[in-house]
Amino acid sequence: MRTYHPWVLIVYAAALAALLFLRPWYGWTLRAWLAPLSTRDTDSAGLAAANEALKAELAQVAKVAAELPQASPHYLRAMVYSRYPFNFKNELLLNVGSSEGVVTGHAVTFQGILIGRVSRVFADTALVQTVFDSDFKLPVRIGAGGYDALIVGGAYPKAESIVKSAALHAGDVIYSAAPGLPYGLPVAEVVSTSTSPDNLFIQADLSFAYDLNTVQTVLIAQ
Amino acid sequence: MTRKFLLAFLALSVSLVLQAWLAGAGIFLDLSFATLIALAFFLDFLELLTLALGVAFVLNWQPAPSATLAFLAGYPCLIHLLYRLAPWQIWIMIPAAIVVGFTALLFVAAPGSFAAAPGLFFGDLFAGILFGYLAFFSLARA
Repeated sequence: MRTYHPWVLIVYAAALAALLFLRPWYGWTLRAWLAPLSTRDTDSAGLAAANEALKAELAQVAKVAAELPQASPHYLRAMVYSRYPFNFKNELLLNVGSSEGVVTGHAVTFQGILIGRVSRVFADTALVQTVFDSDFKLPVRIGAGGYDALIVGGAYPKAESIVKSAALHAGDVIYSAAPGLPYGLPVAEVVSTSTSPDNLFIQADLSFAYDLNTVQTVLIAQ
Repeated sequence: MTRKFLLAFLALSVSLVLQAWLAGAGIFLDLSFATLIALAFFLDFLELLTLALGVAFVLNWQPAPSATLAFLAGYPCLIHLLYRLAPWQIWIMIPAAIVVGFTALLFVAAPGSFAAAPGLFFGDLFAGILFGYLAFFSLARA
């Protein structure tokens, strides 16, 4: 038997809808708080627990400081606000937007490695489509030979459309060669190669020098 | 609050926390969506709508409307209405609604992602059905 008035739920629903549209960052904060990277203290039972939390926060700040690259005037530093929550895409929301001069299509790097491109810009935030997004495509070159290829994103990104005569080796660096992006930004390394399903090209499996789930600060090329 | 609503809130909270925790480790499962679909068979429309908006609020990732989130909140409400119109065996309808919902969510969000890694989708679907049944068993006795 119902023991509350339906208006209570209507008020709750309206409040949630208002928060969703007007104050979405509260939701991002809540989700970040639920994630394992979070170090916020929810248990104030004792000083020992608080001390542990402070140590963890200190470690997190040190990690962020270590991640901060040498910013040049051509790059804008940004923090990761939020992440796409499903496995269909791979996007990051950054804390800088059009008011800081961010423009769609700009390269986003982590420790000097290209991790994605700005796909959408808002007033104070920007959405980044990462290399691990299934719609991500990027013209690149591989190794000292400079063989042309196309990186196709996804959970397991590949370099495709490589000419069969290319002499590729494990460890060859893949770097950006796309219009609108800085030339020569490292993206990944070749792990192994195989023939494409249509038997016309070579494709390469890639390895990445970072774990995207732990990335907290990035640079945006200006 | 009714006992059923509190149980539903608890089940959804558990799935949301687990989903966020796993996502932080790089494992993306739509547990809260599956739980919402299962709850659609037990809750009143207003109760379901409130919980669906709560999930959308927590899972939102950008300061703009999103078709993905609209579907995530709207699909369980649609299932609720369909079930009211044509009630049938819940234990069969839950996995069927989850399979249809997950597939439709894939096409709403990014259909290309299926070809890139079909195993991820089927793993997500399996975990979703499992969580849907967990929610079903939790609420069936309430």
